[in-house]
Amino acid sequence: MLLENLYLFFTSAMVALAMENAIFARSLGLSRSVLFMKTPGAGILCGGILTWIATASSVLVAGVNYLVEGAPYASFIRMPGYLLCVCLVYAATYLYTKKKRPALFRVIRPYLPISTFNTALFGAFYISSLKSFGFFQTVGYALGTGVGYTIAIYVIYYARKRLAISPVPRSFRGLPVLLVYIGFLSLAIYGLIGHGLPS
Amino acid sequence: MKFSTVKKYRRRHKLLGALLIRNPVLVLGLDLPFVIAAATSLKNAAAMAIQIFIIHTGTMLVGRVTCTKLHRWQAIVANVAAATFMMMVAQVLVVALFRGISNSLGMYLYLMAVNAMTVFQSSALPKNAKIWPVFTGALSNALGFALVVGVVALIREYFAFGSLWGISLPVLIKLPALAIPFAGFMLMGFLLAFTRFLNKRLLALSLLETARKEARYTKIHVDSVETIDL
Repeated sequence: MLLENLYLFFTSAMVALAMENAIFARSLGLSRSVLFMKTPGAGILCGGILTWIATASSVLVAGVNYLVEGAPYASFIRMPGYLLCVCLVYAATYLYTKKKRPALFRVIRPYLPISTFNTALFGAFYISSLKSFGFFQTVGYALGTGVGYTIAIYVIYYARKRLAISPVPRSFRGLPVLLVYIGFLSLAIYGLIGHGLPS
Repeated sequence: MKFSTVKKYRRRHKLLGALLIRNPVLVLGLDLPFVIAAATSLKNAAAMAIQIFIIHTGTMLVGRVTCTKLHRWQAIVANVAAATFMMMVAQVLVVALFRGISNSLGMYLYLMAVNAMTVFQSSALPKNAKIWPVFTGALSNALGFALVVGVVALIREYFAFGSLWGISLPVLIKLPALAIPFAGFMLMGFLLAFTRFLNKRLLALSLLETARKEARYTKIHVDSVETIDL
């Protein structure tokens, strides 16, 4: 039983990390502030906070999914339920680090809101409800989403550095060429999964 | 110059500025997931536009209150809660107006509650912000989003499915791959580049117009210098 649950946990985490990457497969959690992180450390910090909030909230979200499953007006109740779980973890993280770890609080404070109220995080919860995941799968999927998001930000940071020194037409410099580059990465992952282009 | 002319000029350029120069999607890079992944048909675009109008304007008005009464970290929670409530209201309207929109938009219908434009802008309001500018600013941002999502959806639906608003139309070349997110990334990249090019041209044209109205042109001949006043 334990082995089976661990297997479900790791497979969902790997699926969320690579094959259903939040940024490359669904463009979730994408915004200018994330795409133009000043240092790789800031990107890792942002992704790390998202991973923590997603994993901790998913423990509560699995319960929400179980209670809401099959209920009337489930589509109306889900989002407020997810929001409540995320807000509890956000408030707990904010207050705990402020009181007990002030040095850590100073570092994470600018990134806490953008990492918490993020479409990638809530998207992971919705996908887990759509696919009727159990507890271990929900937590694994949330963890994989966070780690995959962090890796994607890291890849995009170094891609941006390379594109900045490449001969790119003036109108395309910055965000336009970066989006085209991410499009090619997304296409590569789409083909890697085994999908073919529709004819 | 007449004051009414100045007012008309300012009003026109304010709208143009909101749609192009300060467009939240094209310039600030906000709400990209909805444009890239979900804008695959005009119905989807219309549904998202209605949602963003309701969610963004409502949340910005709530944000005007929370920014003065609550701490910043509490204000952001209150704003997102307000956005979730607005999303539920918008969802009822959108599902009633467009059949099958829940299947078409999927989870992006619900993720509108945490769209980056609303979350960031509602929590960044200054404490002395007045209600009318907040409301008009929110409306213009929502209009900017609606314009971009409409253009992208129009291109993708026409070339991917050969239809507009579900009505089949003749199309020279069909590219079903345009409906997949990777095509959305590339299309957005080209659209951003085109907007940047257009902004530069508009600026250049307006500067040229000003220069033509006020400048003196100088014609230089071999023997003499002739100045022409326009």
